[in-house]
Amino acid sequence: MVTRRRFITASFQLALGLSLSAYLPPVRGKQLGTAPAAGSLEPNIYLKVLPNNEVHFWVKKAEMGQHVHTALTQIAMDELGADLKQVRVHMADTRSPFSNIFTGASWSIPGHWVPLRQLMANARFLLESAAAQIWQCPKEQCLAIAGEVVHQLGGQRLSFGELVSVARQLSAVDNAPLRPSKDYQYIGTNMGRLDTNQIVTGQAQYAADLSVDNMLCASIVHPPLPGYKLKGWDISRLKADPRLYKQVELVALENALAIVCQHQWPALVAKDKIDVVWESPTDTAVDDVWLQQQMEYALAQPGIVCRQQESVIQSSDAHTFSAEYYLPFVAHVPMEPPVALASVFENRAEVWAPTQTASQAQSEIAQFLNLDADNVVVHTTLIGGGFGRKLKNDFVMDAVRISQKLKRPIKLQWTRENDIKNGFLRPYGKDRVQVALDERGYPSNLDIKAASPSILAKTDHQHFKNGLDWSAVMGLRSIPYHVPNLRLSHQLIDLPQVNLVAWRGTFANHHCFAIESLMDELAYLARQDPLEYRLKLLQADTKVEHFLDSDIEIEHKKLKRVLTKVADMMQWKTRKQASQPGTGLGIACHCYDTHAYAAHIVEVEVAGQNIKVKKVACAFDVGVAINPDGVRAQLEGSIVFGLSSALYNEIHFENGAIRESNFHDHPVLRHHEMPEIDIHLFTDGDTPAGVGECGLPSVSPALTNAIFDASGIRVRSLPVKLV
Amino acid sequence: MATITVNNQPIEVDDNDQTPLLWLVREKLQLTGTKFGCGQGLCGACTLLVNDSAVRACITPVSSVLGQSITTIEGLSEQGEHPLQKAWLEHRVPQCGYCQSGQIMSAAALLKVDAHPNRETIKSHMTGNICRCGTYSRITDAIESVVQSDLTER
Repeated sequence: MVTRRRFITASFQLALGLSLSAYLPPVRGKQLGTAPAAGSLEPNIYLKVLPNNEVHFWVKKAEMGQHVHTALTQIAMDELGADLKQVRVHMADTRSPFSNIFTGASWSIPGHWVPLRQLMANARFLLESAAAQIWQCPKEQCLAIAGEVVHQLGGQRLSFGELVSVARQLSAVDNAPLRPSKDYQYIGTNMGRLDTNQIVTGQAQYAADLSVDNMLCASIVHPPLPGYKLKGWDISRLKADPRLYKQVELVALENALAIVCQHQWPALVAKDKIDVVWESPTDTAVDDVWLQQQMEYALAQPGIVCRQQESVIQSSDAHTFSAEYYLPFVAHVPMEPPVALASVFENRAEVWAPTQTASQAQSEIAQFLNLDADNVVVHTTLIGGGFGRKLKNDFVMDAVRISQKLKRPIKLQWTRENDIKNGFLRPYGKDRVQVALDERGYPSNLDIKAASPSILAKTDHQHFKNGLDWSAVMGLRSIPYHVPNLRLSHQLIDLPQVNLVAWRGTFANHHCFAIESLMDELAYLARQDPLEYRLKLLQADTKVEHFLDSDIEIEHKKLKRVLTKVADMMQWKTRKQASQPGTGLGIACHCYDTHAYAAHIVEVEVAGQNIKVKKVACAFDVGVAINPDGVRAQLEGSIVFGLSSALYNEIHFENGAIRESNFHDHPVLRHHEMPEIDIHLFTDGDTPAGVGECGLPSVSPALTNAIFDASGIRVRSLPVKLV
Repeated sequence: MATITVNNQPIEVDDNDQTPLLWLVREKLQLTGTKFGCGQGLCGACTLLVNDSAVRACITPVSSVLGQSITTIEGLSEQGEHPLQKAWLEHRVPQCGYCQSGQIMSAAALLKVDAHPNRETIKSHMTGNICRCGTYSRITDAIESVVQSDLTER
């Protein structure tokens, strides 16, 4: 039946000449793939080649702006020898054979680099062998390139589609030789997102843009902090607007109150006219003072050692230095507030959501609804910014709960206030540093005790080893500088009162801020150039650090190379010597666990309390750049994200709730504050590093080191406050 | 009843409708390129044009634009051939993409009042549009390239 709404929509689109399919609601029960399986070549779970010459490619990584669909397509189609024009890229849903649909930890590209190429090389082997069989020639004379297999002597060509029927009959191989890198057509080429055209014409569909038949829209009121129960609500203010009141329906959940309506706007308005009463799980009012008390208590505990080394060289003199470096709680604030569409039926459920963890969502939903996981389908939509926030499916479960109660499809739209006040945060953390210095001013003993809550469940045995939270010491245990006597430890803060999750690099940010600020402070005490001081402490070529049962390999020469390069980019030496009061340069570097190396120099002007970031330079060793422009985009984004958090971002707790609510009291970096950016990539390695996170941690200390250079004010706590 | 024009199509609306324009275009007209970001006119994700001015659709009641002409991202050009859209492609601006329709509409409004803004003007005009992925410098470059090619063609 064509409803009036549909009719209006359709006529609009026709008038605009747009593709109607872009607006159609998601199709329920759609099987994997868009074409019948019969007659196609399906050599692995990523790939389907059709007789009509279409190549379908499934990815299990969510696209959230990191251009992962583009980069994975570049890798796969280069190895296969396809033409990108024939390729259709699909986001796998939970019906697909992929075991864990998860996106995070900067691991999508490093994790796919070898296995994906091997699978595609095996598939190419079948297509080339099929051509060899048809042409009755040795396979070595057949090469797949740009969607065809070409006879290297005779020049005959057969398209992939024409080869499918023969290739299907051949036995699979599992170790076909990989294509030599000199033959790459796509890897190493600058590409935008494959769907950029849809984005700039407003046709790209995010979860909020979807609708299904019989759907209702919802908003939601959350408790101030986790653990609260819904006790009651007062709707007198809502009733004062009878027209609004009769449009909405309230749905009580155990720990939230939902407002449901035919349309989104009344649900959002009604939400602010309801006074909800909560039952607190505890008498403790969580506030900033209480949280700092927890921090101090933790730092007074012995902690668990994550790395220790001792040398016979003991410091003989009494030169010591101590300091504390602090990072606050911060929110992610992606431009797309959390949103999810859930259809819960008698014995199955289907969900569309911008989740970084679709498989996790599937099991959470199945458990909640008491269904087999096979009867729960989760579609990962485009993600309008993730940064770690959308690793959590709390907003998805909200939509599922409402849909279960009403037995109708529900699209739940969180507001920005829901996002900031009731979402998940990156934890706060403090590193307490004590150093003994030798006669030249270099550290002979270094003791860092870190304290923070965990982003993991204690039942996560993969990451908790011997009581130590592996994720909480990322960037700490891998400290690259040579110190003869070293003791690094961490003390966990038990904090069930606050919802916590990863945030682009998470604790690498805390520890990089501490270590790189420290290096700057020690260089100043030693009256040495901060760059030279660092280079002195990076002597060995490759250093292998032992951590529990795994080794971390840090290539000092790579770290030295990015430091030296970024210094050249900013004429560090000459400009440091000629620096004027009120202007400053600061340097910092970072090596991430995914074998990427970053160095930043920030140039600032400081006048009173005003800080102007004039320029940021970044040298970055990515090993292999699949999409160099995409790597640059991630580094540009890291600079903006890093400056935002260093200058502005902080979540405060008062009276058992989060104070901040929207962009007026939670500012982020805006366009007019944008510094000039200069980026250099090193791409001469043999493995691509993950790039989503490594470019972030050293931005903050480079900034605060620059502020010190300009003003003499040492910032040891973020966000920066000059008083 | 009253009429507003959306992407050159007349639309009948209730002349006392307090619903923000955002929800009219997104829900009734299914023009979902205009995004919900903050609901308070603070982030610019919902930017569209009323006549030739950039307006935050999330805080603009339908009743305040009666008789006026509204352009959303879907109506900016037929097939994405507006110079700004082409520049966005050429400079590979979008990361997550969610804020980009608002960014493009703000840029379009700027070029309507000032066809040749300099870099600083571009940056200050665009400051009402937040991007968390960090595409600001590419947005500046993309707008500047449109300005430059217009100057070259003169």
